[in-house]
Amino acid sequence: MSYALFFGDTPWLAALTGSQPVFDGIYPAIAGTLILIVCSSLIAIPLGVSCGIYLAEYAQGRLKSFFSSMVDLLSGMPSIVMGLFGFALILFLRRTLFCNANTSLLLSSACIALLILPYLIRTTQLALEGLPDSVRLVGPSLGFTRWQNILHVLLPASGTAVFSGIVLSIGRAAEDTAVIMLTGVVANAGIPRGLSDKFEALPFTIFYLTAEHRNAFELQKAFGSALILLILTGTLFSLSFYIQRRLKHYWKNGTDHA
Amino acid sequence: MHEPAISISHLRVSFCGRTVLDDIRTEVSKGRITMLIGPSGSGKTTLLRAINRLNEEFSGCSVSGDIRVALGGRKLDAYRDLSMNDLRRKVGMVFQVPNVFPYSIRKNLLAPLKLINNMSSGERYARMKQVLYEVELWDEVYDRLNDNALTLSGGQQQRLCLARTLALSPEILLLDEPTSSLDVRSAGKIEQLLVKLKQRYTILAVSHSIRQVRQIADRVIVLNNGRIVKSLERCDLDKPGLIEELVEDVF
Repeated sequence: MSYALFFGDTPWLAALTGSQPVFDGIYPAIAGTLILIVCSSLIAIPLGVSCGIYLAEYAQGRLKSFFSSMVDLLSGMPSIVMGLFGFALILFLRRTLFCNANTSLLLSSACIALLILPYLIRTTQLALEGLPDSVRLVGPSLGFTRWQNILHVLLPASGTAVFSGIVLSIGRAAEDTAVIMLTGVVANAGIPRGLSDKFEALPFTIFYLTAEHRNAFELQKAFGSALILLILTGTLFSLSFYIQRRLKHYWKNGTDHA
Repeated sequence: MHEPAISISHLRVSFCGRTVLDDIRTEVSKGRITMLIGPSGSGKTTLLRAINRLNEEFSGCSVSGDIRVALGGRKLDAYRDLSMNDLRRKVGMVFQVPNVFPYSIRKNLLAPLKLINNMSSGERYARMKQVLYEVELWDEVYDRLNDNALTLSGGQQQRLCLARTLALSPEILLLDEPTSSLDVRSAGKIEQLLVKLKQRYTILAVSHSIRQVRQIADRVIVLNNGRIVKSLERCDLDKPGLIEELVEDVF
């Protein structure tokens, strides 16, 4: 762990503002991983939670069992297959609609989102379905509409479980290597300038440094990066617990102090 | 004779093909406490939930027959004349186990008002205070309105649930064994409240306690196997030997 691990020979201010590229440090990889997590969460969390709500509260009968088995199938999908799917998708797009399409941050985020989607759907669905009738019936007995009941009674009551699903999927998004390897990560890409850029990521950096190290320093760098990845996910977890506590506080007291 | 507030005829409720209530005909009068008793599984709760259409929250439920409720001076068909949510706002329900929201005491009462009635925040606060007085809880909680409702005792929680229901100004109250999870003292408090509230609301309650029936019921309906087997008035209840017969039959 040293300054050089993060920024190599580049001055840190210049690296952070992006005015000078960083060649030897892992700073671009940290930034890449963070951006990847944020983008894939933005896609997956709203989609996953709403799918979970749909499956728990609205879907019925054969439709429900069909979708449930699809979610199971998706959660059993090895991540390399998901990566291959993204890769094939780009090849398909290049042949048909967009000949400029290329593997990129956007594609990686979408594939990671697909990877973590089943966790989110499943935890939300199970959390809602696990609520006892005594909780479930209060809202309707007061004349709440179905949506009011979900939003103001059922989701707050199952909030902790839904949140643990979110935390789990953030961890999964941070550590996955196979998907991004085929969909847009490259060594020494620098910090992505947009969604269509290539990027670096910590798990990939760890992977290629360990597999292809030429000297002891590079191996040390790999272990350093692994430690950073652990710290990064740890920080994200604590952040999400903090947000969860704030939300809980809000749900309990509300803003209505009339 | 009192004006009937709820008239039920030919009511039949079944879940997934299994009949729970069959050919129920009865009337519930205003200004009195009507109590439903019967062995467990006899359909008491289902009958209550048929009136505010709560059975429909469960899949595989089918209801036929006719339930008319008197609301705002008009007799309305519970299943056809008004929407399910409007019905439920006018026909309040309190459950067996106190089920306060895991929020502050204040929010337990204000949140439903905010969601359902378009009241200003001042009106909501006044309403909250009024219903807390009505259930005699104000003196106990006025200085801790921001505490979590789960910190209240079981009896206080149940009274808070009653207050939450009353806040929406219902005309009919359905109570599903409201005192069964409470100690004798808290139960007694709720019973006193019910006697007070019957002046203004139509009360239909499921009860498990013969003592309670003897003390506060104005009329008793006995259910067995999904059918009404007996219906007794207050004057019948005071006859010697009849209560013992009921105990034989039901408990």
